Amino acid sequence: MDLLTSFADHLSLGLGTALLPANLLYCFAGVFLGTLVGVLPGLGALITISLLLPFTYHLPVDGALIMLAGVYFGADFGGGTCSILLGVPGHPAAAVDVLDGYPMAKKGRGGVALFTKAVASGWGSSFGILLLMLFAPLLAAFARQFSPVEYTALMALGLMAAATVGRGSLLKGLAAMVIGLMIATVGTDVNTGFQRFTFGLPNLSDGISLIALAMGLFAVTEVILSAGQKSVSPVRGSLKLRDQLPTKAEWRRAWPAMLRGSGLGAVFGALPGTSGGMATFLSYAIEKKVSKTPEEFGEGAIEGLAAPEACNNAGIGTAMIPSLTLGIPGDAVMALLLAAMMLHGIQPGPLVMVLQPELFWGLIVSFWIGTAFLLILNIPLIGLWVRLLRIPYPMLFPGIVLFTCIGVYSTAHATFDLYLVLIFGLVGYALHLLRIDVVPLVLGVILGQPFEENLRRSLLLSDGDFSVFLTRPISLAALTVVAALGVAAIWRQWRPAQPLARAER
Amino acid sequence: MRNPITRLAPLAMAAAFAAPVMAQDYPSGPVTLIHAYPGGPMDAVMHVVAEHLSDRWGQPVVIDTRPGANEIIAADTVAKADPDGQTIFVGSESSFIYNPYLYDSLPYDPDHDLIPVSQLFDIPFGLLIRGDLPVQNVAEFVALMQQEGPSRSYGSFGVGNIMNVGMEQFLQAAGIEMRHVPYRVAGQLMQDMFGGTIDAVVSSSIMAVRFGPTGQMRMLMIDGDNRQPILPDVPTFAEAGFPDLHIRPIIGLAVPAGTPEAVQAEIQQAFAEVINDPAFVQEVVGPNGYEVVASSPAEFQAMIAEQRPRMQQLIADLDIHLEQ
Repeated sequence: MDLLTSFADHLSLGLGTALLPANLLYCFAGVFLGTLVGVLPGLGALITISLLLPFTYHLPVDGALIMLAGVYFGADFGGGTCSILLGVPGHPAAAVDVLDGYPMAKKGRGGVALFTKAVASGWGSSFGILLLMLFAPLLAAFARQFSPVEYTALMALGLMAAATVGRGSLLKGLAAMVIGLMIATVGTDVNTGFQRFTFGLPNLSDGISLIALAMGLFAVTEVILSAGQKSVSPVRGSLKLRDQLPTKAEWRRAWPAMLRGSGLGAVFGALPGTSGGMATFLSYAIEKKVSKTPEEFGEGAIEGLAAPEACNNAGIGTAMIPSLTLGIPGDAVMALLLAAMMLHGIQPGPLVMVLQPELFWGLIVSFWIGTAFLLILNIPLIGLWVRLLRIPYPMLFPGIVLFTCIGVYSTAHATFDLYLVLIFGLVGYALHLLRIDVVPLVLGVILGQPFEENLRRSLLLSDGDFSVFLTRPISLAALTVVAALGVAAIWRQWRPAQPLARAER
Repeated sequence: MRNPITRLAPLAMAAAFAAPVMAQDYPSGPVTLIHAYPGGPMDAVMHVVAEHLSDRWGQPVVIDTRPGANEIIAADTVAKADPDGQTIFVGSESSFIYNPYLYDSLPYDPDHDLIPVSQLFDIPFGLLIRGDLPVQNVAEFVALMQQEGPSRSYGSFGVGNIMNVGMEQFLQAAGIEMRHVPYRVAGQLMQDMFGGTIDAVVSSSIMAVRFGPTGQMRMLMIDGDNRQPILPDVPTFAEAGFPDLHIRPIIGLAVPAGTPEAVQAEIQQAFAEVINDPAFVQEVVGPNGYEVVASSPAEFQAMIAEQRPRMQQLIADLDIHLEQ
C-alpha cells in the first residue's frame, strides 16, 4: 500500500511539472527533432543531444532536460524506422530491427512492421518507466548484486546464445562469434595498457568503432547486395491504415514476445555497462530459441521485431535508475544528460530525488508523455513512411551511403572510421556469400570487451581462483544455462538424422 | 646611435606595429576548440566557455571532439593544424605531463609541436572510500591497509590514468600496497564500489558531495592548501599528514607551434576573463569540482617543467609503458 501511495504522490508531483504547457512543448519539440534525426541512418541521439546541448543553456532546467530526454526517445524510435524501411540501422542498437523488420517491409508488410514496432516500443517504455517509478531502489539494490563475477557469467550466457542463434550450422555460428570476439580484442588492454592489433594507429587504440562496424555490416552490405540483384522492384502494398495493422495471428505471436523482451530489457537496463544493443540482440536470440518456428527468423518473423523493440525501450526506462538515482551514466547519451544537469547547477546523484522532487518526477513523467507523443506522431506517419518503399531502391543508394558516412563521422570525427565502414561492408558481403550469419559476429564484438574485462577482473580479485564462478548463485545459474544451451546445440547438430528434423530445414 | 636600444628601435617599431595588427585580426574566422571527451564534464564546461568567447570575439567558437588514445588523437590534430590560433587544444595532465613518459613514441613532438598557453583549471583530488569500510580517517585507513592491503583493491580508468598514478603516489607515501583494478566504464567502477568489490579511489570532490550525505562514500582527505568550502569536514593532504602529496588533474590550452605570441596572449586573456567571471565560477567551476588557475603561458610552461621530472620518476618507479 505504501508503495502505491508513494507512487501516486510521485505521479501527481511529476504531472505537475510535466504538464506545464511550456514543458509539453519542449517535450514535443524534443521527440519530433529526435525522430527526424533518428530516421537518418547513422545519426542518433548522441549527436543530436550534443548539438542541441548549447541551445538548452537558455531554457529553464526542467524544460531543457525534458527536451533532451525527448530527443533521446525520439532518436531511438526513428532509428528503428530506418532499419525497417531501408534495411539500414539508424544506430547500432537498432541493427536488430533490420533482421526481421526489413524482410517484412520487402514482403509488403512494412506498415505492419512499423505499427508493431510502435506498439512494442510504447509498451516497453511504459513498462520500464513504471518499474522505474515503483521499484527504483529495489532495482538499484538488485544491480548491486552484480559483481564482476556475475557480469562475466551473464556475458558468457550472451555469447553462448549468440553462437547458437545463427541461421546456418552451429559451427558457422561459433566461428562468427569467435571472429567477433577477435575483433573486440583490438585496442588498448585496460589491465596492462598494452596495445593489441593496433599497428601503431592511434585510431585503433580504443578498439574498432561499433557504429562503423554495424553500419558497414548492415548498411553497406545491404546496398551491395541490392545492387547485385538484376531488378529490384519497388515494394507494392496497400496504404490504407487498416492494412497497416497486424492480423490477429500476428498479434498473438507478438505480445508474448513483447512481454519477454521488456522483462529482459528492464533487467539489463538497470546494469550499467551493458548498453549498446547487447540486450536487444540477446532478446532476439531468446525469441528464436523459444520459437516453434525458428526457421522464420530472418524472413520476417514478427516476434523477432516485437521482442527486441520492447526490450530496447524497457531498458531505456530502467537505465535511468543508475543514471538518475546514483548519477552513474548507463551509456554515453545518459552521460550527456547528466552533463546537462550539472550545467544547470544540479548535482546528479541520490540527492536529486530528495532536493528537487518536482524536477526528478517531472522528468520521469515526461518520459511517459514523450512516449505518447511518439506514438501520436508516428502512427499517422506510417502511411507516409511506407510510401518511401515505392521509391526504387537503387535511387536511395547514394543517400543511404552518404548519411551512413555522415553519421559515422559525426561520432568521433575520424576519417579512419569511414574506411572501417567500407571494409566491414565488404566483410559483410563476403559473410553473406559464405552463408555466415552476422548476428553472432556483432554480439561477439559487443560482448567481447566486457566479457574479457570482467573475466580478468574476477580472477584478479579472486587471485586466479576459478571457483568463484561456481560458488555465487547468480553466476552458477547463468553458467548452468550456458552448459545446457551448449549440450542442446550439440545434440541437435549430431543426433541421428530424423525425418522430421530434415523436413524442418 | 651608440645606444643599442636606439639601434633596435626600427625592429621594435616593426614588432609594435605587427603585434597589434595580429591581435586585432584575431580571430579572422571561426575558432575550434578540440578536446577528447565528448559528453564528459569537460565537454559541458567548454560549451559554456565557447559561448562566452564567441560573444567576445564576434566569431563562432565551436567544440570539436577527437576522443580516444589518452588525448593523443586530439593533440595530434591540433599539432598539425595551421598556427593561426584558430585551432586550440584543450587537454589534461595526460597530454601536458604524462604521455611523453607513458608512451614509447607519439605521433607529434610534445616538446616542440604544441605550445602550452594557459592552465585553465585544477581539479583537486581526494581519497574516497566506500561508505561501509570500517575506517573514519586516513590513519585508520593506512592501518587497515597495512594489515590487509594486498587483498584490498582500488579502482582506476586504466594503467597510466591519474586515478592509477595518483593512488600509487599516495600508497608510496604511506608505505602501503593495494591491488589495482582497472575499469573502462565509470558506471561499473561505481557499481563495484557500492557493491564492496572496490574499497577506494582517488577522485574529485564531486563524488564526495554526491554520495557523502547518504553515507555511501566517504572522502578521507583532499588535495589543496585549504579545505574545500563544500567539504568543510574533509582535511587537506597536509593536515592528514601528507604535505608532499599532490594529486590534481589539470585542464590546459595549447596551440600549434608558430602561433604568434600576440595571438597566444589574446587567447590566454580571453579565456582568463571568461573563467574568472564570478557567475561562471559560481555556476560552472564550483559544481564540477574545479578550481580556476588561468595562468600565463610562462607560468603554465614552468609548471609543466616542474611536474614532468617528478612524474617521469614515478612512472619509471611504477614501471608503466604504453606502446603507440
